[in-house]
Amino acid sequence: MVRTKLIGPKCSRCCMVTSVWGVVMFLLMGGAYKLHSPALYDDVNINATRIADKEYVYSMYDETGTNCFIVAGVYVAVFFFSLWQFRVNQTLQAYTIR
Amino acid sequence: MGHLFRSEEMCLTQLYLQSEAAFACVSELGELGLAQFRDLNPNVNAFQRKFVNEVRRCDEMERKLRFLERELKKDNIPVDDDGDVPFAPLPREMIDLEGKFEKLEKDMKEVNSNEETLKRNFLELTELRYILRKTQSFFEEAAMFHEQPEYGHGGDESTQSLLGSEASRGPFTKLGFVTGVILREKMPAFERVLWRACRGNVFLRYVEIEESFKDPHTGDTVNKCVFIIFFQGEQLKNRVKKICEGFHATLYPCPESPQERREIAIGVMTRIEDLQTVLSQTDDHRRLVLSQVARDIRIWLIKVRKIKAIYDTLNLFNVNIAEKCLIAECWCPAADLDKIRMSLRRGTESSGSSVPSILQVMKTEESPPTYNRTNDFTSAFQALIDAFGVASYREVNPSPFTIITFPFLFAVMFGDLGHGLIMFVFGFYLVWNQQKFLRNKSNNEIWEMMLGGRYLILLMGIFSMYTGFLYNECFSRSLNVFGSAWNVSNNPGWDKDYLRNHESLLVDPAKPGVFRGSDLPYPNSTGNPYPYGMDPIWQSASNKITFLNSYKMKGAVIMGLCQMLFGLSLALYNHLYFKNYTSLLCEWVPKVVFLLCVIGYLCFLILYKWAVWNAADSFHAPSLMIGLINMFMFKAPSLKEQTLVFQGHATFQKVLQIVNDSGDDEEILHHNEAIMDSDSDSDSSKQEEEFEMGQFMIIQVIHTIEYCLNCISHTASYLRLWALSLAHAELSEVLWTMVMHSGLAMPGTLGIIGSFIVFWGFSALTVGILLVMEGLSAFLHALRLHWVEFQSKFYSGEGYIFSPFSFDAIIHDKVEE
Repeated sequence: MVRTKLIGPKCSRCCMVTSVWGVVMFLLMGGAYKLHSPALYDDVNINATRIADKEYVYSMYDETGTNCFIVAGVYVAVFFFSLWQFRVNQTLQAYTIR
Repeated sequence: MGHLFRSEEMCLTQLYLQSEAAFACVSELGELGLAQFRDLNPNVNAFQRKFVNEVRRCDEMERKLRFLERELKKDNIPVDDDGDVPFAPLPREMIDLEGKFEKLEKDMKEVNSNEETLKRNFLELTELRYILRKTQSFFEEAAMFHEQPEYGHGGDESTQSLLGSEASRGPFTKLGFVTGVILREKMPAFERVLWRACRGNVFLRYVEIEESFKDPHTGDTVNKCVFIIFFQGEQLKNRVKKICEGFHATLYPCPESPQERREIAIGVMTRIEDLQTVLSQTDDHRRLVLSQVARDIRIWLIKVRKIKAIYDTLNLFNVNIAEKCLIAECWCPAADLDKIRMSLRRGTESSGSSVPSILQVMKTEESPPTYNRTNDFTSAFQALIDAFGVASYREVNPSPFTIITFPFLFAVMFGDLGHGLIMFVFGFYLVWNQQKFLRNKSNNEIWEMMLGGRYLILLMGIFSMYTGFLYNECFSRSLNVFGSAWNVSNNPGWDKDYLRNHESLLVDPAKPGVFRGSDLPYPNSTGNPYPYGMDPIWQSASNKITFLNSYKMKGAVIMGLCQMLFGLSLALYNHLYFKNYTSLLCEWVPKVVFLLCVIGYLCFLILYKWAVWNAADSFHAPSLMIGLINMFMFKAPSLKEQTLVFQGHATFQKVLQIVNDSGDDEEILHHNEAIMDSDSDSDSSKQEEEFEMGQFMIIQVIHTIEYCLNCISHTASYLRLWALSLAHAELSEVLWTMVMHSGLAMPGTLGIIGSFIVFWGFSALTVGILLVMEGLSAFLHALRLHWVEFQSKFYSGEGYIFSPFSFDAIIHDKVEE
């Protein structure tokens, strides 16, 4: 394991928790967008003039859903990064105590 | 209901302890932790008590141990903590411990002073070394000036000697000099004083020492300079020496010739090396001593604290010198008398005394302390109740009910599925790792508080998830689990053009096919409304808040009535237990009647209106608030004023009013009569009785008015359940629409980056504002509802808490000594 410390112990712990939450939440939101949930209607980027076109609305829903899944993937990467930093901080701490 | 329903039965006991067995018996009782001793010598000064010498010795030992602890901390040596708690040692072992501590303290002090001396020597030698090195350049410069007069004899101005013409005229006058070291900060002042005092006839050169030294006494790092002062004559020399003394500069003898200087330098180097070896050896020895101490110091501290606690307790006893025994009085739970007898027997056996200790139960009129046997789970809730006021002896304890009602009321104000889930996960994490967290005591008070309330947080999270599901809110978005009961497309004439031209439209459930409600009286409908919770369509409705307001307010009033009635029923239990039948008939019955006639009546109307009135006749639905106000103004409910709820409403209300008023009268008058009757066999004169009667009357009237007003005001107070849940929902919605929305609504790839960045802000604000701030707020309000609205119906809270003599509490610093 490469031992470069980029963020401290508290920051890495916080990042781990937030990224787990992010993964779970974005996966579920992506699923909700794919199911065309009306509760999320306001958060989809719909051009007001083409509001009547069902296919267009559904395609915008799907696009936002895909975005959410990609963000979930980015957060998985963030999770592994912060996990690595957490391990690095642990070994560094173990060295300073005699 | 178990032992938590009321506080434990306590009894006052007297203990007769043999003098030799006393220490061991008290030690056993301390381990058991179930006896609260009373002070039998309240008039005796602390210095006149019997065991004051032993306490003083314990204090001395504790002081020595604290000194050792400080030394350990200075060297950063970790203290062993294996969680083992030793028993209190016997009195004869105390002398051993004292001797050991004395020797250790002496050792440490000796090592410390030696180290200080060595360090000072080291410092002096180092300074001397620097002086020898730096003054080399000074002497070379001085030598240059001596050679100059040979060349520039009254010619060039620039080559004139700095020392003036007199020095260059005659033969070379020998200059005296002193060398020394002074603090860098004092240098400018030193220079100035020298110049002024010696009228400019001395020559000072100085140079800084790059290395910074550690002052051996204080441990601060200081920077110093080497200086050399050239002067001529004895007087100047004395003056210079005095000034150096004044500025705390250390002077060192420095030879002139380079060879001598080199010899001394070599000598100094060897001495420095020797000193360094000696210093490191001293350090090692010190570390060795301290590491041996580190192994045992925790156990010693606990032992000393236990001995001190035992002697402090023994000081409370009554000493009977003639019979050679000590008499103690203590409160203890009646159920644990056997355990106490066993401990006394163990104590007597271990001390080797032949005479057994006697325990005798005394009868007393005093009010005993309140003791509630709690475990890990219930202690948090008991602490919530005790914070307001400790229960009176043997009255009903509200804490077992609080285990459920408190998280529920919290959840009504906090209801959100997402936030509840986060709270639940956090509480679960605390509970899952509780052994590990409890062992490592942290300095962070807030963390310790959250750890103490871990079960509370867990329950609040679970209940919040439930109410979040009922309100159908998850981070302010609704979930459609069962399929909405509303069908907007069944509205005839609502085609695409119609929808495009209208911003907002009214979806009327009375129209056929729009609402899949109950059978009657809709001619069209089939099926049922949304089975459990709020219909998800309300999220898209612009009148969502208006609708929810009515529902939440009515729900809050109903919940308030339920809790207040429950409080009154607990009061019934109290009256029955204390056999207070006068209070029961003359206080309790009118209270219940009044509450039911006013607020119970309102809740009945609420439920009736929900059940019977429907969308078909909603345009002339009765207003319950106006109806209630009219009732107080003795106006009958009528169709005209839209206050008629059902047929025969007017008669029903009249009956209630009569019952209500008679209840009030009974409360005021009959209570007085009953109290007077119970006092009638006392020998008080007629006049006194009349006076008492008048006073009583006034008090009763005040109490009656207070209770009646409180009924209304407390019911209104329960509306905070609505207010806080509205605030939470709105905050949650604003957070989503302002933060999360801006990231999600971005098109294409920008949406990915936007959502990624925005989520960090969203999560931080959710935790900071919605979880911490709203959580604390809902916690506080739920607590207030319990303390004031619920407990004022039955709780008197005038007891004092049972604080037994327990080593556990003392060792873990829960008790102030």
